[in-house]
Amino acid sequence: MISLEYIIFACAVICLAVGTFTGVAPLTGRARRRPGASRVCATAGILFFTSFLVSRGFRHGGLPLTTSAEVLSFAAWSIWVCYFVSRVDDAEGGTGPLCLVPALVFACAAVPGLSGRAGEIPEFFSKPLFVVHVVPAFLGYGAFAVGFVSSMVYLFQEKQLKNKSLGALTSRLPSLECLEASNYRMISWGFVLFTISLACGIVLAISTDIWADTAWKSDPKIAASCLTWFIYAVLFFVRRSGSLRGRLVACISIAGFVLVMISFVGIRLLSSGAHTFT
Amino acid sequence: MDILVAGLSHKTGPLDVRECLHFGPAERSRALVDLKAMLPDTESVVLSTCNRVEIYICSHGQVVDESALMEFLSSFHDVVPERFEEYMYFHRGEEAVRHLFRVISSLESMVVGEAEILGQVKDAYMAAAEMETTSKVLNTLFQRSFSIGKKVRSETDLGHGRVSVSSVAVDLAEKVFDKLSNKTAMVLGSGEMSELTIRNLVDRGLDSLIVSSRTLANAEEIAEKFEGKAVPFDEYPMFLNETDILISSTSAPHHIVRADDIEKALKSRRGRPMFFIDIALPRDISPDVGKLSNAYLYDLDDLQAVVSANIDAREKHLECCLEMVEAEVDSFLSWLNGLEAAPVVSSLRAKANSIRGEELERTLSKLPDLGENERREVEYMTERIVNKILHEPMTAIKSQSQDGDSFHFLSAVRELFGLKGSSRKEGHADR
Repeated sequence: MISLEYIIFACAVICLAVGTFTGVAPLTGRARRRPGASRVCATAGILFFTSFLVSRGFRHGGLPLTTSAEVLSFAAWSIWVCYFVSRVDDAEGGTGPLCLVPALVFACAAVPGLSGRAGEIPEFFSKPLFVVHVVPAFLGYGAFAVGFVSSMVYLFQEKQLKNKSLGALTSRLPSLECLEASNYRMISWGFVLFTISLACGIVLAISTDIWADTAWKSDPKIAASCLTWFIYAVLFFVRRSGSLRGRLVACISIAGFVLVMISFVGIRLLSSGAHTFT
Repeated sequence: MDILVAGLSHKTGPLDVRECLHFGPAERSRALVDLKAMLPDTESVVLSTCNRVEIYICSHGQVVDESALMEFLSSFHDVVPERFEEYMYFHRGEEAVRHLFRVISSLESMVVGEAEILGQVKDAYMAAAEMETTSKVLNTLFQRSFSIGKKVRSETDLGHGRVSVSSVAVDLAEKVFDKLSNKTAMVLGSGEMSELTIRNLVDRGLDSLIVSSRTLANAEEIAEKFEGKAVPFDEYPMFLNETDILISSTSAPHHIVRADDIEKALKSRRGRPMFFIDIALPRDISPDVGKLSNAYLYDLDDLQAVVSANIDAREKHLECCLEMVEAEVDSFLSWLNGLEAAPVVSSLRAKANSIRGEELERTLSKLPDLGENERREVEYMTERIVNKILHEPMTAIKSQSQDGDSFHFLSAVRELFGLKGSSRKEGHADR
């Protein structure tokens, strides 16, 4: 039997899909812009999504991150929150709805797995320090995803402007300055959130003596996360100082997000490191 | 009812002829009053822009002859008809409706997709409405024209993309910079094109302007006009690092803006982008500038290519716009035909009821013994008979009027039932 939780999640995915479509379709010039509809769907969707995660969390007695489907849905929620808070869709033309595309991909990927049984929640999932370690990490990933989309659009716009091959799409997308500002904002938020997450992770590891476990010492996710943090730290400080701008910042931001995806999805799928709980 | 449009436009007549027939705001009001006096049973609107002069007439009585409007234009402007008659066009009925919808959708404009015509037609209509020279038909026709004008612009990309070099340049600047309100533009040289570009930039909120020219007086003149700052020509490189947009239109025979100067400026700007518009021939800015990171260079050919692409893109939407216009024409004509059928329907019903009333009165007077209930029953019966007899003719009239030209059909109904009161004025039958 389909549970209420699953119905709420389905509603969230439908809102996300409609919000993405109503936002992205006008960029093709074949549909009218309906920023209001896109925003209403995003708002309704985030309420459904948050309700789903809160309900699941209460039922499990900890963060709902025990299965791949739950992790994917949490990642989709994080991207959605970052999109929602950043309000990049306020910009002319708006890349905002494009930011929902990765969220939609993650949410759709989570759909089949959510009907199954939840995994067992390890004891320290309910520790406050664990929550402060995981939630900022996911929100940081969300910010990096939004920054990634802004960077991709920036590279496209920049190429069109440089090559003088200006199509209708270029006129519908925001200016380079707007895209760069959006990317920088997301890098800043992501870096701060990711730093909090890593710091809490270190404190958590020390306080729970998990370093004694050799599986944790050799966990590839820790190495990938440290490398991700390092790349975004360099990017953040270099961009903040103003010594690097434009195309190069966009390329590094994309590279950083590729590393995020490797550490988030790739390592989870390909290895059985200590960060995998399913 | 007969709708007629008489006029001339940039497509049919030269500028000097259009100038002769142009109506300024005061003249337009006077023309509307004169038309009302000359053609009392008509509605009228006068549309006069730099590209067209048109008079829209809807006659409720005698059909307005084309020569009457020619004479009106001739006497009003004191111009002999021979001067303009060969450039005039006349559209009547469906064609007149279609013409207005095409005009307001800017399909008849010099620059297809331009937005000004919608406002100009609105002004013309408002002036006529104020002078009370419009009534039901032209009110509805123009209201519908405003909605089709808006629909064409909002539902298609007909008005998308600029079609002048100066406005395209500013559009491109806005694709590099988020807003111009915190940006500085520098203009090298003076000329009509650079002034137009500055005007566009200022209109979109440019923060500050630096003007430099070999003749400082020229630079000062432009700077004063746009509240900018004039600098001697040999000092302009010192201001490059604070310049976001550089417009160059000098008559120098060689490149005056070199890539190494811009590279230095970009370094001192810490990579903030610069946008270059080179509208000089031969070019003022080295093409190598465009290869620098965070520098965007557009010369006259590039801008012209964007203009051509925008014009092509607009033309791609023409078919869709024409379909929208045709749908609205059909809808309006259907309404108009319904309007023409309404008096016939009401006359027919009135006549039938009048006969019924007369016969009922005669019959009831011969049956004085009938009680109240019986009298009412007889009355209801006559009503039912009339309704049943009229049902099919009424349905046919409505159906014919919605299908299109119902003129002959309505004439036949009038003849058959002897509906004199609903007859259109005699002259109109000549349509």
